[in-house]
Amino acid sequence: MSNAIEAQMLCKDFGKFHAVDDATINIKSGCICGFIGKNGAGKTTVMRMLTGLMKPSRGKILVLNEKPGCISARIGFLPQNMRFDENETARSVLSFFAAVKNVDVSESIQFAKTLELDLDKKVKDLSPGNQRKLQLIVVTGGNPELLILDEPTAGLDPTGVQQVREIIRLLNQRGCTVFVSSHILKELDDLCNQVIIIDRGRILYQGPCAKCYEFETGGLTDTICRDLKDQVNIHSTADGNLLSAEIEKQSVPDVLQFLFSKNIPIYEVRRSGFESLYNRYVREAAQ
Amino acid sequence: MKETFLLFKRDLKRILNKRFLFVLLFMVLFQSWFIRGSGYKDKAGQNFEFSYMGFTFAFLILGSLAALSLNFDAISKERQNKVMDLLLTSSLSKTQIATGKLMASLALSLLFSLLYNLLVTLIYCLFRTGGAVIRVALHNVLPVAALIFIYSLMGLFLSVLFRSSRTSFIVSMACGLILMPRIFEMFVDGICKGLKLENAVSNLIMFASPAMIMSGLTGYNGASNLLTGIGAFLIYTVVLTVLFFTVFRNQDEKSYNE
Repeated sequence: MSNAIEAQMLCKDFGKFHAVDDATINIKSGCICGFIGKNGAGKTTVMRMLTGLMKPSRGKILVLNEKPGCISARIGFLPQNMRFDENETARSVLSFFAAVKNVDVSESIQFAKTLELDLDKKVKDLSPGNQRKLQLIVVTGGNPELLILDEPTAGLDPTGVQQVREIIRLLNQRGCTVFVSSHILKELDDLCNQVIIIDRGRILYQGPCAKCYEFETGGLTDTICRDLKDQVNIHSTADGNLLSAEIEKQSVPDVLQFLFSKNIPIYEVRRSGFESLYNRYVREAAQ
Repeated sequence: MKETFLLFKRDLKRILNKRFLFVLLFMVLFQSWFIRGSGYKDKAGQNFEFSYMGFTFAFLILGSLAALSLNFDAISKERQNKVMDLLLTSSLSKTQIATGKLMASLALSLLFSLLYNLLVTLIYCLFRTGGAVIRVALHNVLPVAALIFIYSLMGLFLSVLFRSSRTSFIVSMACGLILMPRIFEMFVDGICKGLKLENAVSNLIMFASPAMIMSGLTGYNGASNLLTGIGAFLIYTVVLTVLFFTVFRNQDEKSYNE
């Protein structure tokens, strides 16, 4: 599978401040890739460089095998906290952007109907969730091959978050590669099949979304992680009585069997998703 | 070309809002207060000074603030609302966006001047002033439009330079105040006296004030002032347009949240 985004040794400096530092990013075509990092980690800066809005201080970028900025017809970018002119109707917003992109507005109108969006309302009369729907419809006009979404659920209520997630899934099913940023880990947990973690401008992890399981036990020894690695070939970390392992669902009985064999009581097993992965990498980076 | 025209139409529609109407009515009311208070209602059209002041007094005092207030956020607001990002990632170039804004500013200047002179003429008609007023009003349309256009270009440039609408507004108002004819005259006088420059030079420097350009363009003060006015207008237009395009094209589109 080819890469939709390839960025090598990407740097962006604002004076002496390194907003992005030697970031190498590869995003596979057809996937939904989550971009995780706390506020100010450099997510938006990376996304803006990928769309051609910002020039990198150093490094090389290829988006859909071309230089960013030359391919705007093939990508859709939804900036964070975007607001259309509130006195315009949703229909006029759609018509303007369809005309600018030289695409058929009827497709966007049809999509709006699917999402139950009232196009005759003024933007100011639409709820934040519906405003975000309108923005997503505008951005997806002309069926872009790549969608870059910068915190698309920021400021939305739980229903709005759910709706945006469904739209992202729908677009991905249509064949669109989605690169979506957020600092809310749970939000991306079920959605993404690839993840990139960024902290202080540095990429800490990129790869498949390895699922993490946590085992709350009645006591662990220092050697348990090493034994687990040696005997069952599972990488794990221990923190007090908590054992964390990056494993798929089917490997959970193997860990349980191993712990039982060592006479270690188990009180709870839970899936922790991105959270422990993120915490681990950020903790390691800080150390 | 089609995209630029679409942008022009959109920008013009956005400019012709309640703010435009408010500024227009305020200027007309300010002028009618002057017409009534100064006794010009009986004299407009009789001589050049009355014809000039009788139509442009509001612009001599508040023209800079009025025109700048219409354009100070043309770019900065779109940047703050992130619509600029969407435009730039929708197959539009910065040159197209800037050209659309420039065309909208030109149209706005002409329209504002036309409506302003029309409404002031109607005020004179209410005061039953003679028919010469219409001729004078038509004569003043282009000079007033030129003044608004210069300040609009300045507003566009400032809105590119200062990325937040609030900063852009404050700087616009400060520029407007400094370039007010009476205040600017004091600056020029002070500088010329300090540097011991001749009167002819200080008169020429005074043409850096758009109000002086408007005065020159009316042709009421002689052919030499008219030519200087045309020259100063062209210099202003070219310099501000080049600055606006160059700065806008070379700027990074930073995010303002982070």
